[in-house]
Amino acid sequence: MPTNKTKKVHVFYYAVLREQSGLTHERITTKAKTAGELYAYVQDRHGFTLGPDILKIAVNDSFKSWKTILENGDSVTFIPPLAGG
Amino acid sequence: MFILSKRPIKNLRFDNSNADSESGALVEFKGIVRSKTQGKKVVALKYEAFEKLAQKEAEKIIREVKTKFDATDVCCIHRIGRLSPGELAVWIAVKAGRRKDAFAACRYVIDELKIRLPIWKKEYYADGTSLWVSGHPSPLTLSKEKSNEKDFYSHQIPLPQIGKDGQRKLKKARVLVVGAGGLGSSALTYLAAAGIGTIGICDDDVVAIDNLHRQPLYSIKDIGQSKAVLAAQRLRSLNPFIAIQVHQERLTPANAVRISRTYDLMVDCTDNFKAKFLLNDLAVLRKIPLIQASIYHLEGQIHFLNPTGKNACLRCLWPQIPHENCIETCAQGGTLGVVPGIFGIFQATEAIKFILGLPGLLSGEVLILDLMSYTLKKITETRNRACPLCGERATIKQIANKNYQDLNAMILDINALSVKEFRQYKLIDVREPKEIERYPVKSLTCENIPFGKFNLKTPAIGRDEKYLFFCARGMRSQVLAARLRKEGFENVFSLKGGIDILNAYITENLKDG
Repeated sequence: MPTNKTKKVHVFYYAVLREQSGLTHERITTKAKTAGELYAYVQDRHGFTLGPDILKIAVNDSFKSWKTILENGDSVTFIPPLAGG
Repeated sequence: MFILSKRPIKNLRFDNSNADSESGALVEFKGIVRSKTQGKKVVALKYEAFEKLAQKEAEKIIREVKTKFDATDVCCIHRIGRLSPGELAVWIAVKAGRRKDAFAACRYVIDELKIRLPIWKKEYYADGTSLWVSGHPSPLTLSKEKSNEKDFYSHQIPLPQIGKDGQRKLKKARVLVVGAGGLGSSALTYLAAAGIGTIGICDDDVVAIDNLHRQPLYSIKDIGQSKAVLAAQRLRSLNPFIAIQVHQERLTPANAVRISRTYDLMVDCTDNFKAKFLLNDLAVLRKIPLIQASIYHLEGQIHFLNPTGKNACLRCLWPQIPHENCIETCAQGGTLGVVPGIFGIFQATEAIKFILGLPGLLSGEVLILDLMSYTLKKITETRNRACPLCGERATIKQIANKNYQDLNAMILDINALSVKEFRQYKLIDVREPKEIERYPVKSLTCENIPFGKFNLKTPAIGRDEKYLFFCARGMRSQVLAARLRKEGFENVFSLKGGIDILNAYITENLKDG
Protein backbone atom coordinates (compact mmCIF):
# COMPACT_ATOMS: atom_id res chain seq x y z
CA MET A 1 0.00 0.00 0.00
CA PRO A 2 2.30 2.75 -1.22
CA THR A 3 1.49 6.15 0.17
CA ASN A 4 3.04 9.54 0.59
CA LYS A 5 2.61 9.30 4.32
CA THR A 6 5.63 9.27 6.57
CA LYS A 7 7.13 5.87 7.22
CA LYS A 8 9.87 4.50 9.38
CA VAL A 9 12.72 2.72 7.62
CA HIS A 10 15.91 1.10 8.86
CA VAL A 11 18.87 2.18 6.75
CA PHE A 12 22.21 0.31 6.60
CA TYR A 13 25.49 1.74 5.30
CA TYR A 14 28.57 -0.07 4.04
CA ALA A 15 32.13 0.83 3.10
CA VAL A 16 32.66 4.46 2.18
CA LEU A 17 29.04 5.31 3.07
CA ARG A 18 29.56 4.01 6.58
CA GLU A 19 32.68 6.12 6.91
CA GLN A 20 31.15 9.28 5.56
CA SER A 21 28.04 9.00 7.74
CA GLY A 22 29.87 7.60 10.73
CA LEU A 23 27.00 5.13 11.11
CA THR A 24 26.55 1.43 10.40
CA HIS A 25 22.78 1.91 10.44
CA GLU A 26 20.11 4.38 11.45
CA ARG A 27 16.34 4.55 11.74
CA ILE A 28 14.79 7.28 9.65
CA THR A 29 11.31 8.71 9.50
CA THR A 30 10.80 9.83 5.95
CA LYS A 31 8.28 10.92 3.37
CA ALA A 32 10.41 9.46 0.58
CA LYS A 33 8.27 7.41 -1.75
CA THR A 34 10.97 5.44 -3.50
CA ALA A 35 14.39 4.08 -2.62
CA GLY A 36 15.88 6.69 -4.95
CA GLU A 37 14.20 9.53 -3.07
CA LEU A 38 15.44 8.10 0.20
CA TYR A 39 19.01 8.04 -1.10
CA ALA A 40 18.73 11.67 -2.25
CA TYR A 41 17.69 12.53 1.31
CA VAL A 42 20.50 10.64 3.07
CA GLN A 43 23.05 11.76 0.48
CA ASP A 44 22.23 15.34 1.31
CA ARG A 45 22.14 14.68 5.03
CA HIS A 46 25.52 12.90 5.25
CA GLY A 47 27.29 14.45 2.26
CA PHE A 48 27.84 11.14 0.46
CA THR A 49 30.17 11.59 -2.49
CA LEU A 50 28.95 8.57 -4.45
CA GLY A 51 25.98 9.03 -6.73
CA PRO A 52 23.20 6.47 -7.14
CA ASP A 53 24.66 5.48 -10.53
CA ILE A 54 27.53 3.72 -8.79
CA LEU A 55 25.59 2.26 -5.85
CA LYS A 56 23.32 -0.73 -5.48
CA ILE A 57 20.39 -0.85 -3.18
CA ALA A 58 18.81 -3.72 -1.30
CA VAL A 59 15.33 -3.54 0.20
CA ASN A 60 14.63 -6.16 2.86
CA ASP A 61 17.88 -7.90 1.94
CA SER A 62 17.18 -8.30 -1.77
CA PHE A 63 18.74 -6.24 -4.51
CA LYS A 64 16.09 -3.89 -5.90
CA SER A 65 15.80 -0.96 -8.30
CA TRP A 66 15.88 2.68 -7.29
CA LYS A 67 12.22 2.97 -8.21
CA THR A 68 11.19 0.46 -5.55
CA ILE A 69 8.32 1.89 -3.46
CA LEU A 70 9.17 1.92 0.22
CA GLU A 71 6.87 0.58 2.89
CA ASN A 72 6.75 1.29 6.59
CA GLY A 73 9.27 -0.92 8.40
CA ASP A 74 11.45 -1.67 5.36
CA SER A 75 15.15 -2.20 5.80
CA VAL A 76 17.19 -0.44 3.15
CA THR A 77 20.88 -1.09 2.47
CA PHE A 78 23.11 0.99 0.23
CA ILE A 79 26.08 -0.90 -1.21
CA PRO A 80 29.07 0.50 -3.12
CA PRO A 81 31.08 -1.79 -5.39
CA LEU A 82 34.28 -3.12 -3.79
CA ALA A 83 37.43 -4.26 -5.55
CA GLY A 84 40.11 -4.61 -2.87
CA GLY A 85 41.92 -7.85 -2.41
CA MET B 1 64.52 -39.81 -19.08
CA PHE B 2 65.02 -38.94 -15.40
CA ILE B 3 67.26 -40.73 -12.93
CA LEU B 4 67.77 -40.16 -9.22
CA SER B 5 71.28 -41.38 -8.61
CA LYS B 6 72.79 -42.38 -5.28
CA ARG B 7 76.21 -42.73 -6.93
CA PRO B 8 78.37 -40.00 -8.43
CA ILE B 9 77.35 -38.95 -11.94
CA LYS B 10 80.23 -40.01 -14.20
CA ASN B 11 81.04 -40.82 -17.79
CA LEU B 12 78.23 -38.74 -19.19
CA ARG B 13 77.57 -39.13 -22.83
CA PHE B 14 74.46 -38.04 -24.59
CA ASP B 15 73.57 -40.91 -26.86
CA ASN B 16 73.80 -39.46 -30.31
CA SER B 17 73.56 -42.73 -32.18
CA ASN B 18 70.07 -42.09 -33.44
CA ALA B 19 71.06 -38.56 -34.41
CA ASP B 20 68.53 -36.93 -36.63
CA SER B 21 69.11 -33.86 -38.71
CA GLU B 22 65.93 -32.32 -37.27
CA SER B 23 67.64 -31.54 -33.96
CA GLY B 24 70.09 -28.74 -34.57
CA ALA B 25 70.98 -27.97 -30.97
CA LEU B 26 72.03 -29.71 -27.80
CA VAL B 27 72.29 -27.75 -24.57
CA GLU B 28 73.82 -29.28 -21.49
CA PHE B 29 73.67 -28.01 -17.91
CA LYS B 30 75.80 -29.17 -15.00
CA GLY B 31 74.99 -28.11 -11.47
CA ILE B 32 78.04 -28.37 -9.20
CA VAL B 33 78.25 -28.29 -5.41
CA ARG B 34 79.80 -24.98 -4.34
CA SER B 35 82.39 -24.78 -1.60
CA LYS B 36 81.00 -21.52 -0.26
CA THR B 37 77.51 -20.18 0.26
CA GLN B 38 76.75 -16.78 1.72
CA GLY B 39 80.25 -16.48 3.08
CA LYS B 40 80.25 -19.87 4.81
CA LYS B 41 82.56 -22.67 3.82
CA VAL B 42 80.64 -25.78 2.84
CA VAL B 43 82.28 -29.13 3.45
CA ALA B 44 79.47 -31.35 2.28
CA LEU B 45 75.81 -31.47 1.48
CA LYS B 46 73.06 -34.00 1.55
CA TYR B 47 70.13 -34.37 -0.81
CA GLU B 48 67.11 -36.24 0.43
CA ALA B 49 64.29 -37.07 -1.92
CA PHE B 50 60.75 -38.32 -1.79
CA GLU B 51 61.79 -40.61 -4.61
CA LYS B 52 58.53 -41.85 -6.05
CA LEU B 53 57.02 -38.39 -6.25
CA ALA B 54 60.24 -36.80 -7.50
CA GLN B 55 60.41 -39.33 -10.32
CA LYS B 56 56.79 -38.68 -11.29
CA GLU B 57 57.10 -34.92 -11.16
CA ALA B 58 60.37 -34.90 -13.13
CA GLU B 59 58.82 -37.02 -15.85
CA LYS B 60 55.99 -34.52 -16.00
CA ILE B 61 58.44 -31.64 -16.38
CA ILE B 62 60.15 -33.49 -19.21
CA ARG B 63 56.82 -34.03 -20.95
CA GLU B 64 56.08 -30.32 -20.52
CA VAL B 65 59.32 -29.16 -22.19
CA LYS B 66 58.74 -31.51 -25.06
CA THR B 67 55.46 -29.84 -25.88
CA LYS B 68 56.33 -26.30 -24.80
CA PHE B 69 59.68 -25.96 -26.58
CA ASP B 70 59.60 -28.73 -29.16
CA ALA B 71 62.45 -30.44 -27.36
CA THR B 72 63.16 -33.73 -29.11
CA ASP B 73 65.10 -35.43 -26.33
CA VAL B 74 65.60 -34.67 -22.64
CA CYS B 75 67.93 -36.43 -20.20
CA CYS B 76 68.29 -35.56 -16.56
CA ILE B 77 70.13 -37.02 -13.62
CA HIS B 78 69.81 -35.68 -10.07
CA ARG B 79 72.06 -36.81 -7.28
CA ILE B 80 70.83 -37.83 -3.85
CA GLY B 81 72.86 -38.69 -0.78
CA ARG B 82 76.03 -37.05 0.51
CA LEU B 83 78.09 -34.92 -1.87
CA SER B 84 81.35 -33.00 -1.58
CA PRO B 85 82.13 -29.59 -3.10
CA GLY B 86 83.00 -29.86 -6.76
CA GLU B 87 80.82 -32.90 -7.30
CA LEU B 88 78.13 -32.94 -9.92
CA ALA B 89 74.68 -32.49 -8.33
CA VAL B 90 72.53 -32.38 -11.42
CA TRP B 91 73.02 -32.95 -15.12
CA ILE B 92 70.56 -31.97 -17.82
CA ALA B 93 70.85 -32.36 -21.57
CA VAL B 94 68.23 -31.17 -24.01
CA LYS B 95 68.02 -31.58 -27.76
CA ALA B 96 65.78 -29.41 -29.88
CA GLY B 97 65.31 -28.23 -33.43
CA ARG B 98 66.72 -24.79 -32.83
CA ARG B 99 69.21 -23.45 -30.29
CA LYS B 100 66.73 -20.92 -28.91
CA ASP B 101 64.39 -23.74 -27.89
CA ALA B 102 67.19 -25.90 -26.58
CA PHE B 103 68.44 -23.12 -24.27
CA ALA B 104 64.93 -22.25 -23.11
CA ALA B 105 64.01 -25.87 -22.51
CA CYS B 106 67.17 -26.58 -20.54
CA ARG B 107 66.56 -23.50 -18.42
CA TYR B 108 62.95 -24.55 -17.86
CA VAL B 109 63.97 -28.02 -16.70
CA ILE B 110 66.45 -26.80 -14.07
CA ASP B 111 64.15 -24.02 -12.81
CA GLU B 112 61.16 -26.32 -12.51
CA LEU B 113 63.19 -29.15 -10.97
CA LYS B 114 64.39 -26.81 -8.26
CA ILE B 115 60.93 -25.69 -7.26
CA ARG B 116 58.78 -28.71 -8.00
CA LEU B 117 60.77 -31.77 -6.99
CA PRO B 118 60.43 -32.95 -3.40
CA ILE B 119 64.21 -32.97 -2.94
CA TRP B 120 65.69 -31.32 0.13
CA LYS B 121 69.20 -30.01 0.62
CA LYS B 122 71.16 -29.87 3.85
CA GLU B 123 74.46 -28.04 3.92
CA TYR B 124 77.28 -28.95 6.30
CA TYR B 125 79.69 -26.14 7.12
CA ALA B 126 83.36 -26.04 8.11
CA ASP B 127 82.42 -24.72 11.56
CA GLY B 128 80.55 -27.94 12.30
CA THR B 129 77.06 -26.53 11.88
CA SER B 130 74.52 -27.60 9.30
CA LEU B 131 71.34 -26.22 7.84
CA TRP B 132 68.41 -27.28 5.69
CA VAL B 133 68.60 -24.73 2.92
CA SER B 134 65.58 -22.72 1.91
CA GLY B 135 64.09 -23.57 -1.44
CA HIS B 136 64.81 -27.10 -0.30
CA PRO B 137 62.94 -27.03 3.00
CA SER B 138 63.49 -29.58 5.67
CA PRO B 139 61.44 -32.68 5.13
CA LEU B 140 60.67 -32.70 8.86
CA THR B 141 58.59 -35.78 9.34
CA LEU B 142 58.14 -36.26 5.63
CA SER B 143 60.09 -39.10 4.20
CA LYS B 144 58.83 -41.93 2.12
CA GLU B 145 58.74 -44.31 5.07
CA LYS B 146 57.13 -42.01 7.57
CA SER B 147 54.49 -40.29 5.54
CA ASN B 148 51.78 -41.13 3.17
CA GLU B 149 48.95 -39.25 1.68
CA LYS B 150 46.30 -40.86 3.84
CA ASP B 151 47.99 -39.65 7.01
CA PHE B 152 48.11 -36.11 5.69
CA TYR B 153 44.31 -35.94 5.69
CA SER B 154 43.68 -38.22 8.65
CA HIS B 155 42.14 -35.46 10.75
CA GLN B 156 39.91 -34.34 7.93
CA ILE B 157 38.59 -37.58 6.44
CA PRO B 158 36.62 -38.52 9.62
CA LEU B 159 34.37 -35.48 9.11
CA PRO B 160 30.94 -36.69 8.03
CA GLN B 161 30.94 -34.01 5.31
CA ILE B 162 34.16 -35.38 3.79
CA GLY B 163 35.00 -39.06 4.23
CA LYS B 164 37.14 -40.99 1.76
CA ASP B 165 34.83 -40.14 -1.11
CA GLY B 166 34.99 -36.45 -0.33
CA GLN B 167 38.77 -36.54 -0.13
CA ARG B 168 38.84 -38.18 -3.56
CA LYS B 169 36.57 -35.43 -4.91
CA LEU B 170 38.96 -32.80 -3.56
CA LYS B 171 41.89 -34.62 -5.13
CA LYS B 172 40.18 -34.68 -8.51
CA ALA B 173 39.27 -31.00 -8.42
CA ARG B 174 41.12 -28.43 -10.53
CA VAL B 175 40.94 -24.92 -9.08
CA LEU B 176 42.39 -21.76 -10.59
CA VAL B 177 43.23 -18.98 -8.13
CA VAL B 178 43.67 -15.62 -9.82
CA GLY B 179 45.71 -13.23 -7.71
CA ALA B 180 48.27 -14.40 -5.15
CA GLY B 181 48.02 -11.33 -2.91
CA GLY B 182 46.04 -10.77 0.28
CA LEU B 183 43.00 -12.90 -0.51
CA GLY B 184 45.19 -15.37 -2.43
CA SER B 185 47.63 -15.91 0.44
CA SER B 186 45.01 -17.48 2.66
CA ALA B 187 42.77 -19.00 -0.03
CA LEU B 188 45.74 -20.82 -1.60
CA THR B 189 47.11 -22.04 1.71
CA TYR B 190 43.87 -23.64 2.81
CA LEU B 191 42.98 -25.04 -0.60
CA ALA B 192 46.38 -26.74 -0.77
CA ALA B 193 46.14 -27.97 2.81
CA ALA B 194 42.69 -29.43 2.18
CA GLY B 195 44.09 -31.47 -0.72
CA ILE B 196 42.70 -29.83 -3.84
CA GLY B 197 44.42 -32.05 -6.42
CA THR B 198 45.39 -29.39 -8.92
CA ILE B 199 45.77 -25.72 -8.07
CA GLY B 200 46.61 -23.06 -10.66
CA ILE B 201 48.17 -19.80 -9.51
CA CYS B 202 47.83 -16.86 -11.88
CA ASP B 203 49.74 -13.70 -10.97
CA ASP B 204 52.39 -11.62 -12.71
CA ASP B 205 53.35 -9.54 -9.71
CA VAL B 206 56.48 -9.67 -7.58
CA VAL B 207 56.66 -9.41 -3.79
CA ALA B 208 57.12 -5.89 -2.39
CA ILE B 209 57.86 -4.98 1.21
CA ASP B 210 54.46 -3.32 1.67
CA ASN B 211 52.68 -6.54 0.65
CA LEU B 212 53.90 -8.61 3.57
CA HIS B 213 51.53 -7.30 6.27
CA ARG B 214 48.62 -8.88 4.40
CA GLN B 215 50.36 -11.57 2.33
CA PRO B 216 52.03 -13.82 4.89
CA LEU B 217 52.59 -16.50 2.27
CA TYR B 218 55.83 -14.63 1.52
CA SER B 219 58.88 -13.59 3.54
CA ILE B 220 61.09 -10.55 3.63
CA LYS B 221 63.77 -12.41 1.68
CA ASP B 222 61.30 -12.93 -1.18
CA ILE B 223 61.11 -9.25 -2.14
CA GLY B 224 61.39 -8.78 -5.88
CA GLN B 225 60.58 -12.39 -6.72
CA SER B 226 57.55 -13.76 -8.55
CA LYS B 227 54.55 -14.33 -6.30
CA ALA B 228 53.21 -17.18 -8.42
CA VAL B 229 56.53 -19.06 -8.33
CA LEU B 230 57.05 -18.47 -4.60
CA ALA B 231 53.48 -19.42 -3.75
CA ALA B 232 53.88 -22.64 -5.74
CA GLN B 233 57.08 -23.42 -3.87
CA ARG B 234 55.45 -22.79 -0.51
CA LEU B 235 52.35 -24.86 -1.30
CA ARG B 236 54.39 -27.78 -2.64
CA SER B 237 56.37 -27.89 0.56
CA LEU B 238 53.14 -27.68 2.56
CA ASN B 239 51.47 -30.49 0.67
CA PRO B 240 53.60 -32.59 -1.69
CA PHE B 241 50.62 -34.72 -2.67
CA ILE B 242 49.02 -32.15 -4.93
CA ALA B 243 49.98 -30.53 -8.23
CA ILE B 244 50.53 -26.80 -8.53
CA GLN B 245 50.50 -25.05 -11.87
CA VAL B 246 52.12 -21.66 -12.25
CA HIS B 247 50.72 -19.08 -14.65
CA GLN B 248 53.21 -16.27 -14.22
CA GLU B 249 51.15 -13.73 -16.13
CA ARG B 250 48.43 -11.18 -15.58
CA LEU B 251 44.98 -12.41 -16.57
CA THR B 252 43.95 -10.42 -19.65
CA PRO B 253 41.18 -10.68 -22.25
CA ALA B 254 43.83 -12.17 -24.56
CA ASN B 255 44.96 -15.05 -22.33
CA ALA B 256 41.95 -15.60 -20.04
CA VAL B 257 40.32 -18.35 -22.10
CA ARG B 258 43.60 -20.24 -22.53
CA ILE B 259 44.56 -20.04 -18.85
CA SER B 260 41.15 -21.04 -17.51
CA ARG B 261 40.56 -23.85 -19.99
CA THR B 262 41.55 -26.82 -17.85
CA TYR B 263 39.98 -25.73 -14.57
CA ASP B 264 36.57 -26.52 -13.17
CA LEU B 265 36.38 -23.77 -10.56
CA MET B 266 37.88 -20.27 -10.32
CA VAL B 267 38.61 -18.21 -7.22
CA ASP B 268 38.84 -14.46 -7.75
CA CYS B 269 41.49 -13.02 -5.44
CA THR B 270 42.18 -9.96 -7.59
CA ASP B 271 42.05 -6.37 -6.43
CA ASN B 272 40.61 -4.37 -9.33
CA PHE B 273 37.33 -4.03 -11.15
CA LYS B 274 38.76 -4.86 -14.56
CA ALA B 275 39.97 -8.28 -13.43
CA LYS B 276 36.78 -8.95 -11.48
CA PHE B 277 34.60 -8.23 -14.49
CA LEU B 278 36.87 -10.26 -16.77
CA LEU B 279 36.54 -13.25 -14.43
CA ASN B 280 32.80 -12.73 -14.16
CA ASP B 281 32.44 -12.76 -17.94
CA LEU B 282 34.72 -15.77 -18.23
CA ALA B 283 32.60 -17.64 -15.69
CA VAL B 284 29.37 -16.96 -17.57
CA LEU B 285 30.65 -17.43 -21.12
CA ARG B 286 32.84 -20.48 -20.45
CA LYS B 287 30.52 -21.91 -17.79
CA ILE B 288 33.16 -22.13 -15.05
CA PRO B 289 31.86 -21.50 -11.51
CA LEU B 290 33.48 -18.54 -9.76
CA ILE B 291 33.93 -17.47 -6.17
CA GLN B 292 34.52 -13.73 -5.83
CA ALA B 293 35.53 -11.67 -2.83
CA SER B 294 36.45 -8.04 -2.34
CA ILE B 295 37.48 -6.09 0.70
CA TYR B 296 37.39 -2.51 1.85
CA HIS B 297 39.02 -1.40 5.08
CA LEU B 298 37.50 -3.69 7.73
CA GLU B 299 34.74 -5.18 5.65
CA GLY B 300 34.30 -7.37 2.65
CA GLN B 301 31.89 -9.15 0.35
CA ILE B 302 31.85 -12.64 -1.04
CA HIS B 303 29.58 -14.33 -3.53
CA PHE B 304 29.44 -17.49 -5.58
CA LEU B 305 28.52 -17.44 -9.24
CA ASN B 306 27.35 -20.73 -10.66
CA PRO B 307 26.83 -20.06 -14.36
CA THR B 308 24.71 -23.15 -14.84
CA GLY B 309 22.34 -22.01 -12.14
CA LYS B 310 20.02 -19.05 -12.17
CA ASN B 311 21.94 -16.70 -9.95
CA ALA B 312 22.96 -13.19 -10.83
CA CYS B 313 26.33 -12.23 -12.24
CA LEU B 314 28.31 -9.09 -11.48
CA ARG B 315 26.99 -7.38 -14.60
CA CYS B 316 23.39 -8.01 -13.48
CA LEU B 317 24.17 -5.49 -10.77
CA TRP B 318 26.79 -3.33 -12.48
CA PRO B 319 26.39 -3.62 -16.26
CA GLN B 320 29.45 -1.43 -16.80
CA ILE B 321 32.76 -1.66 -15.00
CA PRO B 322 32.82 1.04 -12.29
CA HIS B 323 35.66 3.54 -12.47
CA GLU B 324 38.72 2.01 -10.93
CA ASN B 325 39.16 4.90 -8.50
CA CYS B 326 35.53 5.47 -7.57
CA ILE B 327 36.41 3.50 -4.44
CA GLU B 328 39.91 3.71 -3.13
CA THR B 329 42.21 0.69 -3.47
CA CYS B 330 44.06 -1.08 -0.66
CA ALA B 331 47.13 0.98 -1.48
CA GLN B 332 45.26 4.27 -1.17
CA GLY B 333 42.93 3.46 1.70
CA GLY B 334 44.99 1.01 3.66
CA THR B 335 43.88 -2.35 4.89
CA LEU B 336 44.48 -4.66 7.81
CA GLY B 337 45.99 -8.01 6.85
CA VAL B 338 43.40 -10.05 8.69
CA VAL B 339 40.60 -8.75 6.46
CA PRO B 340 41.75 -10.29 3.15
CA GLY B 341 42.97 -13.23 5.24
CA ILE B 342 39.47 -13.94 6.56
CA PHE B 343 37.78 -13.43 3.20
CA GLY B 344 40.34 -15.63 1.45
CA ILE B 345 39.52 -18.37 3.94
CA PHE B 346 35.82 -17.84 3.23
CA GLN B 347 36.61 -18.35 -0.45
CA ALA B 348 38.50 -21.56 0.26
CA THR B 349 35.56 -22.74 2.42
CA GLU B 350 33.13 -21.99 -0.36
CA ALA B 351 35.33 -23.81 -2.90
CA ILE B 352 35.55 -26.90 -0.71
CA LYS B 353 31.78 -26.86 -0.11
CA PHE B 354 31.15 -26.62 -3.85
CA ILE B 355 33.53 -29.46 -4.72
CA LEU B 356 32.04 -31.71 -2.05
CA GLY B 357 28.50 -30.86 -3.13
CA LEU B 358 27.59 -29.53 0.31
CA PRO B 359 24.55 -27.30 0.82
CA GLY B 360 24.60 -23.69 1.90
CA LEU B 361 26.61 -22.17 -0.92
CA LEU B 362 26.38 -18.42 -1.35
CA SER B 363 24.66 -19.00 -4.62
CA GLY B 364 22.38 -16.12 -5.58
CA GLU B 365 23.44 -14.27 -2.48
CA VAL B 366 26.16 -11.86 -1.55
CA LEU B 367 27.48 -11.98 1.98
CA ILE B 368 28.64 -8.69 3.44
CA LEU B 369 30.54 -8.71 6.70
CA ASP B 370 31.84 -5.78 8.71
CA LEU B 371 34.58 -7.05 11.01
CA MET B 372 34.40 -3.98 13.24
CA SER B 373 30.83 -4.51 14.39
CA TYR B 374 30.52 -8.14 13.18
CA THR B 375 27.42 -7.05 11.31
CA LEU B 376 26.66 -9.67 8.72
CA LYS B 377 24.15 -9.40 5.92
CA LYS B 378 23.20 -11.82 3.20
CA ILE B 379 21.54 -10.07 0.30
CA THR B 380 19.63 -11.97 -2.33
CA GLU B 381 20.67 -11.28 -5.90
CA THR B 382 18.19 -11.75 -8.69
CA ARG B 383 19.12 -12.12 -12.29
CA ASN B 384 18.68 -8.97 -14.34
CA ARG B 385 16.85 -9.64 -17.58
CA ALA B 386 18.56 -6.64 -19.13
CA CYS B 387 22.05 -7.85 -18.12
CA PRO B 388 24.45 -7.31 -21.03
CA LEU B 389 26.10 -10.66 -20.26
CA CYS B 390 23.49 -13.15 -19.07
CA GLY B 391 20.26 -11.30 -19.90
CA GLU B 392 17.75 -11.98 -22.63
CA ARG B 393 19.41 -9.74 -25.17
CA ALA B 394 23.01 -10.12 -24.15
CA THR B 395 25.51 -8.03 -26.06
CA ILE B 396 28.69 -9.47 -24.56
CA LYS B 397 29.16 -12.80 -26.30
CA GLN B 398 32.89 -13.27 -26.03
CA ILE B 399 35.87 -12.09 -24.08
CA ALA B 400 36.98 -9.01 -26.03
CA ASN B 401 39.24 -6.17 -25.06
CA LYS B 402 36.61 -3.50 -25.61
CA ASN B 403 34.56 -4.80 -22.66
CA TYR B 404 37.33 -4.00 -20.17
CA GLN B 405 38.34 -0.50 -21.13
CA ASP B 406 39.71 1.54 -18.32
CA LEU B 407 37.17 4.31 -18.21
CA ASN B 408 39.58 6.56 -16.35
CA ALA B 409 41.87 6.70 -19.34
CA MET B 410 39.29 8.52 -21.41
CA ILE B 411 38.67 11.32 -18.90
CA LEU B 412 41.13 14.02 -19.85
CA ASP B 413 42.35 16.72 -17.50
CA ILE B 414 43.40 19.43 -19.94
CA ASN B 415 45.24 21.35 -17.25
CA ALA B 416 47.87 18.65 -17.45
CA LEU B 417 48.36 19.28 -21.19
CA SER B 418 50.80 21.60 -22.90
CA VAL B 419 49.33 23.85 -25.58
CA LYS B 420 50.98 21.70 -28.21
CA GLU B 421 49.40 18.56 -26.78
CA PHE B 422 46.04 20.29 -26.40
CA ARG B 423 46.05 21.27 -30.05
CA GLN B 424 46.32 17.63 -31.09
CA TYR B 425 42.71 17.07 -30.07
CA LYS B 426 39.75 17.93 -32.20
CA LEU B 427 37.17 19.55 -29.91
CA ILE B 428 33.53 18.58 -30.19
CA ASP B 429 30.87 20.42 -28.21
CA VAL B 430 28.06 18.00 -27.35
CA ARG B 431 25.79 20.59 -25.68
CA GLU B 432 22.47 21.78 -27.06
CA PRO B 433 22.54 24.96 -29.22
CA LYS B 434 20.69 26.91 -26.50
CA GLU B 435 23.35 26.10 -23.91
CA ILE B 436 26.08 27.16 -26.32
CA GLU B 437 24.33 30.47 -26.86
CA ARG B 438 24.36 31.10 -23.13
CA TYR B 439 27.88 29.88 -22.44
CA PRO B 440 29.89 30.05 -25.64
CA VAL B 441 33.42 28.72 -25.99
CA LYS B 442 35.93 31.53 -25.78
CA SER B 443 37.81 32.43 -28.96
CA LEU B 444 37.77 28.91 -30.42
CA THR B 445 35.43 27.50 -33.01
CA CYS B 446 34.34 23.97 -32.25
CA GLU B 447 32.18 21.52 -34.06
CA ASN B 448 28.81 21.03 -32.36
CA ILE B 449 27.07 17.66 -32.30
CA PRO B 450 24.38 17.74 -29.58
CA PHE B 451 24.40 14.71 -27.28
CA GLY B 452 20.90 13.66 -28.25
CA LYS B 453 21.62 13.85 -31.95
CA PHE B 454 24.83 11.86 -31.87
CA ASN B 455 24.52 8.83 -34.10
CA LEU B 456 26.42 6.00 -32.43
CA LYS B 457 25.91 3.57 -35.27
CA THR B 458 27.59 5.79 -37.83
CA PRO B 459 29.41 8.50 -35.87
CA ALA B 460 30.75 11.34 -37.97
CA ILE B 461 34.26 10.91 -36.59
CA GLY B 462 37.36 9.13 -37.80
CA ARG B 463 39.28 6.40 -36.01
CA ASP B 464 42.71 7.95 -36.36
CA GLU B 465 42.21 11.48 -35.14
CA LYS B 466 41.97 12.28 -31.42
CA TYR B 467 38.65 13.73 -30.31
CA LEU B 468 37.91 15.61 -27.13
CA PHE B 469 34.22 15.87 -26.25
CA PHE B 470 32.97 18.41 -23.80
CA CYS B 471 29.64 19.52 -22.34
CA ALA B 472 28.52 21.63 -19.38
CA ARG B 473 30.18 19.56 -16.64
CA GLY B 474 31.66 16.49 -18.27
CA MET B 475 28.84 13.98 -17.72
CA ARG B 476 27.31 13.77 -21.20
CA SER B 477 30.68 13.88 -22.90
CA GLN B 478 31.84 11.03 -20.68
CA VAL B 479 28.84 8.86 -21.47
CA LEU B 480 29.39 9.47 -25.16
CA ALA B 481 33.11 8.75 -25.02
CA ALA B 482 32.43 5.52 -23.11
CA ARG B 483 29.89 4.37 -25.68
CA LEU B 484 32.18 5.19 -28.58
CA ARG B 485 35.06 3.35 -26.96
CA LYS B 486 32.83 0.30 -26.70
CA GLU B 487 32.33 0.62 -30.45
CA GLY B 488 36.08 0.53 -30.90
CA PHE B 489 36.90 4.23 -31.14
CA GLU B 490 39.95 4.35 -28.90
CA ASN B 491 40.90 7.98 -29.54
CA VAL B 492 37.89 9.63 -27.96
CA PHE B 493 38.18 11.52 -24.70
CA SER B 494 35.92 13.45 -22.38
CA LEU B 495 37.00 16.83 -21.05
CA LYS B 496 37.08 16.71 -17.26
CA GLY B 497 35.01 19.50 -15.70
CA GLY B 498 33.33 20.67 -18.91
CA ILE B 499 33.02 24.16 -20.41
CA ASP B 500 34.25 26.16 -17.40
CA ILE B 501 37.55 24.29 -17.34
CA LEU B 502 37.89 24.66 -21.09
CA ASN B 503 37.28 28.41 -21.03
CA ALA B 504 39.68 28.86 -18.12
CA TYR B 505 42.33 26.91 -20.04
CA ILE B 506 41.79 29.05 -23.12
CA THR B 507 42.06 32.28 -21.12
CA GLU B 508 45.20 31.05 -19.41
CA ASN B 509 47.04 29.48 -22.32
CA LEU B 510 45.60 30.55 -25.64
CA LYS B 511 45.14 34.28 -25.20
CA ASP B 512 46.59 35.00 -28.59
CA GLY B 513 44.24 32.56 -30.26
